Amino acid sequence: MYNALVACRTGMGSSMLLKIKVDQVIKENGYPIVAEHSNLDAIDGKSWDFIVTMSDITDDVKDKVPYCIAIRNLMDKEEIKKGIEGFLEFRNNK
Amino acid sequence: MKVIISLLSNAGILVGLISMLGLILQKKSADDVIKGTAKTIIGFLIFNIGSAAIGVTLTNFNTMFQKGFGITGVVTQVEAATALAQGKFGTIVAIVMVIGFAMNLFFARFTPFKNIFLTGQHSLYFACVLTLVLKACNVNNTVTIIVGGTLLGFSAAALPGLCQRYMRKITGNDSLALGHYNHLAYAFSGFLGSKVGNPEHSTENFKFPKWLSIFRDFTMCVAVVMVIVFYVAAFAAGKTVVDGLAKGVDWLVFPLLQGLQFAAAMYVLITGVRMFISEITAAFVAISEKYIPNSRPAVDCPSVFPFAPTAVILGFISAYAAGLVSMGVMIAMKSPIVMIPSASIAFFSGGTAGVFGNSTGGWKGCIAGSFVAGVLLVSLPLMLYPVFAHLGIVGASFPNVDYNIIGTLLYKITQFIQSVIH
Repeated sequence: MYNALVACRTGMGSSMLLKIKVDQVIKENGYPIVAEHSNLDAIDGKSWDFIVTMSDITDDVKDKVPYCIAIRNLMDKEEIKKGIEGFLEFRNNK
Repeated sequence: MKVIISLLSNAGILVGLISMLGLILQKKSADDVIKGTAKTIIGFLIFNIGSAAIGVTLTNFNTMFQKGFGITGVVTQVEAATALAQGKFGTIVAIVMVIGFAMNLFFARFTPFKNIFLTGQHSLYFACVLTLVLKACNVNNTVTIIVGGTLLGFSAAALPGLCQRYMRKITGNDSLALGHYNHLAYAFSGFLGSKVGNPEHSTENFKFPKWLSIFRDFTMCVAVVMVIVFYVAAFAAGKTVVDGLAKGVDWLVFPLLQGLQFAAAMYVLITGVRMFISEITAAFVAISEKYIPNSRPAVDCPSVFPFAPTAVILGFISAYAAGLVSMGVMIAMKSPIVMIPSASIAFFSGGTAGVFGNSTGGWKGCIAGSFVAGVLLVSLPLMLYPVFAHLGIVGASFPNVDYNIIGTLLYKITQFIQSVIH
């Protein structure tokens, strides 16, 4: 199982919906991932396999986590799916 | 019977039951239902703890500001105002919010207003405003719940539509709506942009210095501004007044600790809100996707930030400058109430107005649109502040544009109806 953090600045509105969509994508595709949802402060609290966040904040966080998925349209499941597949590929090649 | 009434009149238990219902409707497993319900209730209790803590620091601030300047200084921070309302009308606010969700589904299903409003914390804040307005008119609980819930549901389904033509421009498709209750300001910013500028001259051609990104951190933003604001109030009030509040803490250290305490309380409050709305929002998404297939999700404002991140920073600066100018005007005009601009609201709401202005008018549209939004965020709360102060909600106000415009209309109409009836 991989640990994922879904985060935004306050950890309220946008990351909450992103988390709901990420969970839907995980469930539909049976990915071995558990996603948690919080604000950006949670990055330091635990070792995450990857983080999912809105693309405008990835510059601030990408150095702190092994892998970062940047989302532009948070309701776009195809985009989320592509991002997660990118992560799984990255892990398999390691 | 007494046990049941006592249980259900607790707002935390009530939202817990709603989330339990949502989890069962989604056919979740028993342990998920128990966990989700418990987390919702605990989240609500954390929210209450944060609310109480904010109330304490705000009281200290009010005392210093009042004694120092002889006028009332009001923090335009929606979380703080909600915290104060929560202490007085918590259960009614929770019921209005829940009825609002149900009415949103109803309007989206049966009327041409197809937006499903998914920004849970805004539903809570707006429920607060509507409840306070109706309570200020001495409307009884049942009518407050029906009128407040219906108006909330209608606003949720209809208001995002005002921004949709600009959302299409910003995101490049029609699948996403904006769910952030400054729709009137954002739509105006988009309109103004088309008059003053050219979308070709986009803000995204510029780069901003890196340190400005500290304002992206919500807690940081609140802490910096509140420490400054507390020091201003403390110096105005003088050593004697501050010593009276500080209980042994040096008067020059007290404002620092209080400003940070305010940010800490806000952090607790937001953590609670996040916990208690997450299961309810998840259920709301599941229900709307299943039963209202042609609906459009209206989502929180950071969803547009990736499309123009520089416009967000420029919009923030412009909106905050506008807020400071507006505060200066209030002081110059000797207003008995002075609204203090909040940096976090200027970031999220001003930034969003900037993205809208930029989409139609480039950098000029961004600056103009977010400046207007900044003025509205600080000056509109003057309309409802006296009404809420009458209920004991003092020292903090609800800055969002839609809350104030719709809240004021509701207040005037309710008063008119009451004058006809009596």
